[in-house]
Amino acid sequence: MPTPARPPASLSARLSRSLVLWVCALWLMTALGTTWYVRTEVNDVYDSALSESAWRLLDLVSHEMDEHGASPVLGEAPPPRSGSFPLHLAPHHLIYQITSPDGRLLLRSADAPTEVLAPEVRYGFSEQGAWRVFSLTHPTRQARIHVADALQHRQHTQIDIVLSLLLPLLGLLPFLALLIRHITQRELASVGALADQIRERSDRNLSPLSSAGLPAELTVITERSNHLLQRLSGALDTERALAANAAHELRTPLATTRLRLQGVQALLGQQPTEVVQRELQHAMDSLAQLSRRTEKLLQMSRAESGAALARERVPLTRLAAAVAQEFWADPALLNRLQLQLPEHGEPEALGDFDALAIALRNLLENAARHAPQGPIVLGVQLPARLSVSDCGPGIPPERQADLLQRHHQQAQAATPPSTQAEGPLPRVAPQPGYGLGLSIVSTIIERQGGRLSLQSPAPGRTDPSHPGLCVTLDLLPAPAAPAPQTGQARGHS
Amino acid sequence: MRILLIEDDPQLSEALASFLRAKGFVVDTAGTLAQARATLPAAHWGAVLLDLHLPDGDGLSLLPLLQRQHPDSSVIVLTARDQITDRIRGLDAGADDYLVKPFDPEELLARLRAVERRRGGASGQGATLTLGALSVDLARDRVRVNGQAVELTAKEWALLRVMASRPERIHSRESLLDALYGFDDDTDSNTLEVFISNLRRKIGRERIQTLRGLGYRLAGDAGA
Repeated sequence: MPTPARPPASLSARLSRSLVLWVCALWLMTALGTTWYVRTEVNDVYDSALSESAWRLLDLVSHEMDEHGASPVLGEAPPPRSGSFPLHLAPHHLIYQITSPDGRLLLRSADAPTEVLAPEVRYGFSEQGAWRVFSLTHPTRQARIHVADALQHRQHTQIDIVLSLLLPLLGLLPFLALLIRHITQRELASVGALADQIRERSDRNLSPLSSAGLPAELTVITERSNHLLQRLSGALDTERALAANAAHELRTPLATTRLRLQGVQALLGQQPTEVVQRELQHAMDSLAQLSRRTEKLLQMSRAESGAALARERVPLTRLAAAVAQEFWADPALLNRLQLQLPEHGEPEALGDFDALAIALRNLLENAARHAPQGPIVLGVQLPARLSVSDCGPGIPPERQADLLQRHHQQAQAATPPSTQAEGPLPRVAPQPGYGLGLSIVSTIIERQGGRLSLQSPAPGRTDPSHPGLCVTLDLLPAPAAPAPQTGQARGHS
Repeated sequence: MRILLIEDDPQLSEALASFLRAKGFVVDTAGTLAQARATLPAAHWGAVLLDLHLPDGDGLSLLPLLQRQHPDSSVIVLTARDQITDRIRGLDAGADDYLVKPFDPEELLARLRAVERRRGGASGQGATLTLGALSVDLARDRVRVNGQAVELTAKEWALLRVMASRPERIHSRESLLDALYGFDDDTDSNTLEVFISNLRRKIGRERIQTLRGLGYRLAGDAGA
């Protein structure tokens, strides 16, 4: 079973997510740039300290040699001493070494290594293992000075600075996200209100949308939508008026002609003329056929119009009851047509009340026409199913697909025309099928998102000569949320 | 029975009036709502045949006035509007019946005779409803099941008369209770079920169908 599609995220949620992601990305880029800058600046500051300390040390060495008259680089080099120079002015993380030009260690700070740090370098910066070293050679006294600091120390400094920048922002991130979410929700509340306004209205409500309190962009959309709604409402009104007028214009003269023919027939009945009677009967039969065909064509035009696309809550028991009562008006069907409702629950479908009534009417007419004997059962089942079953000759499986095609002429013509006397309703008088009925049903059900299926033999039928036909309409069930009953759904008695 | 025919199409109006007059009815005609309003007080109408598509408005708008002036008149709507919601709207507005054009003249005649029966203007065979083995003679207040007479109390008969006079309708609980109020002012909420149960015991359980949420209707042998 396919998993239902996830509902799309709201505009405020999408905007909040994008804003938070972009703020984080920009913040990370800023942090990376800052890290690079801090690293450069820290190296510059530390290098400057190395250089400054080396030059100061050079002055001290010159001074001491001048005072003691001895040069450690003149061949009688004393054993290496440690920490004899007053380098208290130098930063505590620095170490130094004083060597002879040939690389002998003359003097070093207490925490300096015993190995000469950069024996080959006369002047300038170099990196030696874990140390950054500045080397300087005395121009006259044959002494070389190496001042160094630990690279690890520099890294710790850089990390400390970067963390001091990043950690407060990390802590603020959740609050920032909440703030962005709150602001977007507040600013987009008007969009949500507009969406609610559209969601809560029924398909038939084409009144203008309210643009009060909407921002400029939405006001434009609302105004243009209202313009379209107005045009659509006008078009639908015109369509309805045209349909009503067409029905009126077509049906009224038909009714008049029938009455006139009936009157003539009655007159002839008083003075029987066999041939004229027969011709008159043919004319009346043709007129009855024309009436039915007109009705079917009107139904087909309605089935293919926008009305059949409506999605309103249709209480199926009310629908079935209303249609059944139409047919019970025919004495021939009063005893045959049974209405079966579910014991529990209220089946509701999404669709158009009138269009579904046309579908049911066609199914019942077909059943009455093709199954002149036995009960016809109009059933309503949960969650949103309607069915009509009869005790007629049934439809072989290979012909069932053909039946759904428009204009398909059913070959079934076994019902004698004389059975028309069964009931006064012309629409249920047994006649050969036009094929339009089931295709009207099929069109309506397809446009309402439902499914039409045929089953022959009908469930429970075992008589092979009259297997019966059960036509089932599986409709879109209405959502479980309670909704007020529509005016159409009111019952009557 | 006197009939007021409100129809704007002169040809149909004339043809229908001729047809009904030939069947023994007294027929007057009106082509617009205004004419109908002017004609209504002129006589006591047994039935009003009402077109909805009139040049000066919707025929249903006449129903309140009609019900005020002629509460006993039956209204049969004759219209080209065949949508089920139109029919429900018409019946909810107070019409007694609804026929879609082009209707069968014989069917209209049958409906008018049913109106006559309900008004007590006819008697004999035409006023008998037969549903399978159940036979209800509305003119003589007699009920038979399989040819055997069944004795009913006045209240049971009142219920059965309502259902048998309009066997094509589903009768709501409220409308059936209305039929009982005239007999018993102390009717409580279970009274209807008691009488329905008694009726079922006498005429057959399957002959009164309960349609959950809708009401009750008379059903024939096949309607159980």
